[in-house]
Amino acid sequence: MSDICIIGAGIQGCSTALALAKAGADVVVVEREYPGRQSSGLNAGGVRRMGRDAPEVPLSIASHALWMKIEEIVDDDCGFVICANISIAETEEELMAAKKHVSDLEAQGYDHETTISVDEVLELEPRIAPGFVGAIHCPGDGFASPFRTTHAYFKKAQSLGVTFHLPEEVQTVRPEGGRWVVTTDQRELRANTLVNCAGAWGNQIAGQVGAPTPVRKEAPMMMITARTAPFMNAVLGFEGRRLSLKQRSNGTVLIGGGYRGQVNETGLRSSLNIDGLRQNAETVLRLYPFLEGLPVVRAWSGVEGMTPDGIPIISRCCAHENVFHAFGFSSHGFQLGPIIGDIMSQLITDGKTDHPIEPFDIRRFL
Amino acid sequence: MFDVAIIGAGPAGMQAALQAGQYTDKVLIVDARPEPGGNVYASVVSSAKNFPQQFQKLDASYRSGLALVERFLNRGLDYRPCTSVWHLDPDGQVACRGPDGAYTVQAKKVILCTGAYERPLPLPGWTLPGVMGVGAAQIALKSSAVLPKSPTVIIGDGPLTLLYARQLRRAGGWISAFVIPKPGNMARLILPGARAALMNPAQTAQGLSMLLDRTLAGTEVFRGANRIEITGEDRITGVRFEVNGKPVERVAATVLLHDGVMPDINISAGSGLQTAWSGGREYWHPVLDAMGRSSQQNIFVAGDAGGIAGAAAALLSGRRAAITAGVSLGLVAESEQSAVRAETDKAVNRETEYRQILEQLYPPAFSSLTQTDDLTICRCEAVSVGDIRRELAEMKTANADPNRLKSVLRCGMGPCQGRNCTLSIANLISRERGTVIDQHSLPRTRAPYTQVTLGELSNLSSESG
Repeated sequence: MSDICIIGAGIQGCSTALALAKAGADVVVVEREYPGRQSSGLNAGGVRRMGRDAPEVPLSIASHALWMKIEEIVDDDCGFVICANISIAETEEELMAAKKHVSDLEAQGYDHETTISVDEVLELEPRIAPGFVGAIHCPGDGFASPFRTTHAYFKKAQSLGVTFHLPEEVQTVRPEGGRWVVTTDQRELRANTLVNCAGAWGNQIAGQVGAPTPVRKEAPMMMITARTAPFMNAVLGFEGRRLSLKQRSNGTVLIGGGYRGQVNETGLRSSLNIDGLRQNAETVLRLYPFLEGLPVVRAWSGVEGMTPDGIPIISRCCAHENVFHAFGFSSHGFQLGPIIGDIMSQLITDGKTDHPIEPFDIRRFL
Repeated sequence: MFDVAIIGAGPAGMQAALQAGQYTDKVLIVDARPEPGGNVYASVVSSAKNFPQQFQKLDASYRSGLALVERFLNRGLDYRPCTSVWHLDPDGQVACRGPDGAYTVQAKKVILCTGAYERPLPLPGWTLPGVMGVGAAQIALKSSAVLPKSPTVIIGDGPLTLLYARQLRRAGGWISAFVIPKPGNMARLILPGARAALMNPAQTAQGLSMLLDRTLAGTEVFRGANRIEITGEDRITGVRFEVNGKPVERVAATVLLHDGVMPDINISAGSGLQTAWSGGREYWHPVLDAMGRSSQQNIFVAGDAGGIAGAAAALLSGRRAAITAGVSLGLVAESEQSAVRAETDKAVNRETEYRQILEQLYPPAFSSLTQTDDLTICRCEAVSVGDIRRELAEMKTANADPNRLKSVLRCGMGPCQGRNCTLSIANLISRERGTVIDQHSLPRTRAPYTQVTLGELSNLSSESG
């Protein structure tokens, strides 16, 4: 019998486990494979506030403050590198829209994003090919190693007494006398509170507790190149094209942007879409034509849960008081990981949180 | 759209292509090398042409490949040399990279004839310049008449090492010493040796004559060597080991390693074919039925890529896979399939059985070597035995998922795509945890299986065929 049973040891599950353990709760986590096995370990590692959907901005900013002291939190620097995020506008229309986006943010009191001129872009990233009109700039964002970060949360939570059952698959969850019985392929667990951090599979749990959601699975793809001499500083993308490009400290270049592979019939694995990789490579060369001879070492895709409105579900359950959800992060949950732990811990232990999570309520899908 | 795409132009691939060419003209065969022949007949045409004297000194089994390769080339099939496959979708989309860049083709059926490669043999000093595989040295000898720098020491054992030693001697080179990391208990060899002799007297006679050659050449042979180390700072200077507790040292400018061969499964595992570990034969292989069909309905496997059985068996299984593919395309009568099966099964099984006996005579050494913490296991990412041991000790769960290990330590994430470390890591896990190696010891394989550049990828074209 535990206080709390968390399903899923991705970044959200591990961060929630850590925050709850710090609050003195008795926590058990059930994970089908191993921590960070799916999206939490396979994503592009962006630690960005830039370009967030409006409801996510305050959460992202709060999470960023935690990223700035990530080593204190998990005893590992998580490979976190602070750098600017730059999103290139190629047309005047894109730049106009970017300026409006920035002034909208300013109107809400946020100043982390600004627009910058071509010259300013070139001062920051002198090797970018010409042919653009400006950019959005967000200094002080950055990137981290996603698997390492999730693993660090896992290890820290474990060291504070959280029990991890893995590899162990949840088969059913059912209420019993006001508590929850979680049946895995190995055992039956009982807990007062159930926390659903099952990512792309979150809906399987939500469905069983009577709160089905329209979360669907997708498989964003990524590539990484061989090592090359340093040529860029920021994380780069485009306003009008799909790209997320960064050079890691070991010299490899990580290429993301959200081109989709295919989720296979089991829903657990995915495969590559070669034409998507082609478009992704083409976009990279639009920025840095001199990378054409750089070999791609690995390409992969991971299964991720997407909500219809593209923002996650972070909420108490609508059907049961003692069930909480944090899933469906729609391919931008990694940066939010640190704050989600705090939010969930507050929701579960105090019944409320100071963070504005109303837009993420599961009831919007009922 | 091709009816049949064949990957690899060794004996299995060439024979499969010749066979498929009889029922369709929509056959594609791609091969990474500049010439057909695979490993066994590497560069046989150019060798005969460019180094005729040397060629005549190479063994008859190699020279016999010339006729097959010429027959294959003269058939005028759509054969594309210098073309590697970097991704294969189970629906038959083949992503290639050739001299003119990267492109995809679509095939109804794909036959994987990707052959075999040498097991890695991680020993202290194995990453130094001057160390290579016996197989690589043999290809250099066959294709470019290149002799290794003397003195040359072989660490390992087995038919390929003996064959290479003989070929090298005839070409004017010499192996100064064989260091065999296996106990020298000759008695255990009697039974399999006798079976081999009964099954295949000609090959056994050749084997004995190669052993005799080695003795006549004055090559030193150290059996049951322990604590083998390759010495040197920037480049190798020699080898050091113990025999019966006594230290031995020999000078070397080249060290050639060999621990048997295993199927090259990167493409088959990467494209989702079910894979199994063969405990007796110490390698992973795609799971195939008796006709070379894999777990994916459009993908077939032939030759050593499906399990080591040698060149003669590869010809037969290549033909069988092409006929089976033809039947599934509706281009070949079912009766032909039963006929080829009747004539092929027995011969392939016989070759396979003979190979198994050879493997008993020359069992792989990798699983019994001492592994000290400082030994590098993953060369690409510089991950040591100690790194893996420490991580395993920290993983409190009973099963040690190789994917998890890979994500934590990066072992197997470099440009070799795990070819040179996956088995060593699986072996280390099994020894540390007291578990057996199986299909779950194989981490996921990621494309691209061979290098493709961003420029090639961005110009990727799709060939309608």
